[in-house]
Amino acid sequence: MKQASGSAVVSAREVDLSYGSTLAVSGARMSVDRGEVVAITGQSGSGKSSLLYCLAGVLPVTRGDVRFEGRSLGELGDEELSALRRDRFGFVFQYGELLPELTVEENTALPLRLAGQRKGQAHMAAGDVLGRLGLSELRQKRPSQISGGQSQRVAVARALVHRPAVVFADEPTGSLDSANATAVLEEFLVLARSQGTAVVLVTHDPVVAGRADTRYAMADGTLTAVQVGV
Amino acid sequence: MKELLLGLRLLPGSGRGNRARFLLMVLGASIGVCCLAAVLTIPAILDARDGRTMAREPQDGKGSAGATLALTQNDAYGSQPLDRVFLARGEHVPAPPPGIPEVPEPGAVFVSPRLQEALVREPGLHGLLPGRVQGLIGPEGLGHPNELFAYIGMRPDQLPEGSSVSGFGGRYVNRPAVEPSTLDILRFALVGVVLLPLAVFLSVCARLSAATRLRRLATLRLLGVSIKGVQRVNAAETVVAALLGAVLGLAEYWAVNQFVARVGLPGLKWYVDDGTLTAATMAVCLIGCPALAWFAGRAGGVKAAENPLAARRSAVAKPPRAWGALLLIAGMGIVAGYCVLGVLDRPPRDTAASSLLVPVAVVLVGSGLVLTLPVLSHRLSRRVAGATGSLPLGLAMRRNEVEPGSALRVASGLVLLVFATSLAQGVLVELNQVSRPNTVQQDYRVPLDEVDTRRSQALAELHGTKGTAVELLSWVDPNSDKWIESAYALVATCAQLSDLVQHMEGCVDGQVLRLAQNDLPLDLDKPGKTFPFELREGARSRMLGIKVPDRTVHVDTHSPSAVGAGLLLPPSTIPAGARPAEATLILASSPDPAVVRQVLDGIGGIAPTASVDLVGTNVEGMQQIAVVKALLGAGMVLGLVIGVAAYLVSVTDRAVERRAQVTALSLLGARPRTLRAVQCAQVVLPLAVGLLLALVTGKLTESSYLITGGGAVFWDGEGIPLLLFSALGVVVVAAVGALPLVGRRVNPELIRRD
Repeated sequence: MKQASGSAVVSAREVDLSYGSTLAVSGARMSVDRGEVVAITGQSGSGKSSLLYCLAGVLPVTRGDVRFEGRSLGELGDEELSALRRDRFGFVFQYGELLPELTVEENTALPLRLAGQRKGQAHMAAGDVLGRLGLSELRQKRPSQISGGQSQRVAVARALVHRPAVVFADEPTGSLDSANATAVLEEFLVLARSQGTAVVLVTHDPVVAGRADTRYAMADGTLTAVQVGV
Repeated sequence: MKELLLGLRLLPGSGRGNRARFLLMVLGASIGVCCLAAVLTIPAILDARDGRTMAREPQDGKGSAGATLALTQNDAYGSQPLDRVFLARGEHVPAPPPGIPEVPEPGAVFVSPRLQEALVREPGLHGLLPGRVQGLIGPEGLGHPNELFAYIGMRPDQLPEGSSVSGFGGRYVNRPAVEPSTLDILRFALVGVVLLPLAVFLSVCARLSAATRLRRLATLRLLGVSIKGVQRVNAAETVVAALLGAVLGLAEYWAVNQFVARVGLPGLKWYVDDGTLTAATMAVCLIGCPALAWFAGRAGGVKAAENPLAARRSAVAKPPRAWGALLLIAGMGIVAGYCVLGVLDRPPRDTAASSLLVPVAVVLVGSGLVLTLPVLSHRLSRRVAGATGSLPLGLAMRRNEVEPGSALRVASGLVLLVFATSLAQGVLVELNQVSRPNTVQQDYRVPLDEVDTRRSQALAELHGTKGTAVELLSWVDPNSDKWIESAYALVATCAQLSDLVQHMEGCVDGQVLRLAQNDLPLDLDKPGKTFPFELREGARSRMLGIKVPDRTVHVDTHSPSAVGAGLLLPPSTIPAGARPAEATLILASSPDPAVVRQVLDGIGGIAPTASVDLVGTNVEGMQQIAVVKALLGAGMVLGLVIGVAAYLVSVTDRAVERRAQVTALSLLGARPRTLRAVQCAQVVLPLAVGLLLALVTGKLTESSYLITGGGAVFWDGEGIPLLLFSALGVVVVAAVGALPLVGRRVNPELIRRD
């Protein structure tokens, strides 16, 4: 299993996570380097999403330690964790979870607006990312007016617009057909790599996992390395 | 039938969120039904009260010889009516009135429990109840538990003014708790205050979690269930919730009646049995509420049934249609017409047309308000969202723009309540005018021979009064056959006189003066004429001659006023230790009903047996107003309960439905305070707009009601601060109520659907 290096953005050491008496994650150890794409595969209920949210500091670990750029997330308060998610992390969810009341442009600009950027600046940056993903024409549309594939591309744009250190993606292509899934993933990884953003993605799709630099497999809460990137 | 069963089958197995929503629907419907039962029972409470009053009315015996005699005396003890029925047994003794075991023997007295308490507190009251208290009157013989009532047994020779009675129990209520005409107005006001918000609330409860339910219904439609079938599935769930809510609501009402009947409302108390649910009320609640839910549920399922694909994809809702504004415009047109007539001081004389137009305008404005609010909110939100640089405000406005109806489900009940409260204020203003003239001062007259010197001194210093004087009537020989001119004289200093009148000119302390009132011809136009006034010093009596002087003091009295004398005497005219034989103590206070009640209670405490004349005021009318106020107050409290319940149910439902989006926002790093600001702004803005609109339309509608009411008051400005304060309170409570809905902990499970 890959050990935490000096360039690790996120690292986990002997992480356990319990839901009551159920051990969802057991002794997980891993690290993610800057710009690296890491995939965690496994069946439904294997604990991969739980581990993802432990790495993102959303779920507090029961035992062990998760570090971001050397700082232990367990030592951070709610405000600091929120700031970290806002400024340094990005998220892509299985169903996009775009806010239905906002336009595509407003949805994409949301992380920048949450970080305190002015509306005009934030929308300009959002327009830039949307342009790179070929979504410029959708800027004023609402999520209900675009397709599932387009929604997921917008979610990717929202995750990367503020140039985070790492993006956590939970089944980012799980709701798409294979052609759309491939296209979205391609655009996602190209954009992330071009920004030097690390990506941790959870998937049960071997094709998607095959695009990662490093692959882990999860079964019954236990993490094992399948392929370690260089 | 299959669809109904399917709807029932989906109930228990539809996940924690849906079960929580079902529980909300049940609880919401139960609160609504509890309030509905209370409103429906109010007439029954008043009827029961009037029924018992009617059952004790003496029946005219048509002067038959040897009949039992009865004489009814209606007086006041403080601000409460004190009713005494004197009965003298004859050869034919009828069955006793309800509540007592027998027609009292001479010297026997039956009193109500509250009068018994007053007797213990104030033994002087025994003077009004000659005889020995033999027992208490049972509840079946009393209108209400607080009634001051007595049956007093006399000998026939002691009751020469009595009328013969053949029995007890009349056909008509002589003094109903609320006049029938007032009861109609009250019913109308209660419908506005309680039933309109209630209808909105029950519809809200029946359509909770609309988006989630629509997706589920759309799935059923896509699986082959017919349009009607989908509607029935949806209706089945809402009907079951409404039925359970109705049963629970009736149980809640039972508990509330047990408690409130014992505690009582200010001005209104009833026996627990009076508030018992009738079969008709139970039927209305148990059938009406599920029936409303059935129609609301069917209507709620139409969208998913007709276009399931759009529902599955959560298509953008169409902007609200503007036709609802037509109702508001039409209603306000009528209202504005009457207001213009009021401004021009030309109130309409055609009361038949007005009595139709004004209620129509009220209904149009009320329903127009509810239907116009989504349109206004949608347009306002779109503009604000486009213009604002603030993220929380922008997010909140975007939500309102997309779902203007959902936020307004929260606001509608409260907005209607404020609108109806304005109308209720108008009802009270008009009732106040009917029972009391529009005056700036209330005068009281107490016969001086009914109070001793110590008590008259205490009355003159009574808290709440602002002026006092004594009015004397000149002595007239009772044995004289000739008409003898008499005169009234007011014993007061200039300062005391000034306190009793609007304006005074030419007063000189220490001198006897002629009194000229309101530029009318002088009552005593012959200076030099002498009038005798009888004074008593212990057992002795002597005459005091007062010569009418030339010098005159001019006063403008209030209208009506107790000051009607033609002479002003300085107090030094009455020798120390002497008391006028025929005189009246005059007191004055503010006309504020609360002060009047306080003064009357003060008089009752000092001189319980004294008869008090409230100049120009109808005491029974005041008593009825107390009842009406209590009922309207109760209605407003019920309306507020409904409004707050609607708010809580809606907000909780929205919070459950938007958990995934709020969680996503939290994961993106939104601060809790940002989310709270969004929640507050989302609720507060449409609510504030709605309340402002309700205040303006409510006040204008109230004015049109007053203008057509035939009274002197067209514009009631006094209620505005109270309404503004209440509206502000509602906004603050709504804003604060939205805060705890954003949790600190982020649960990613809420956005996972696998």
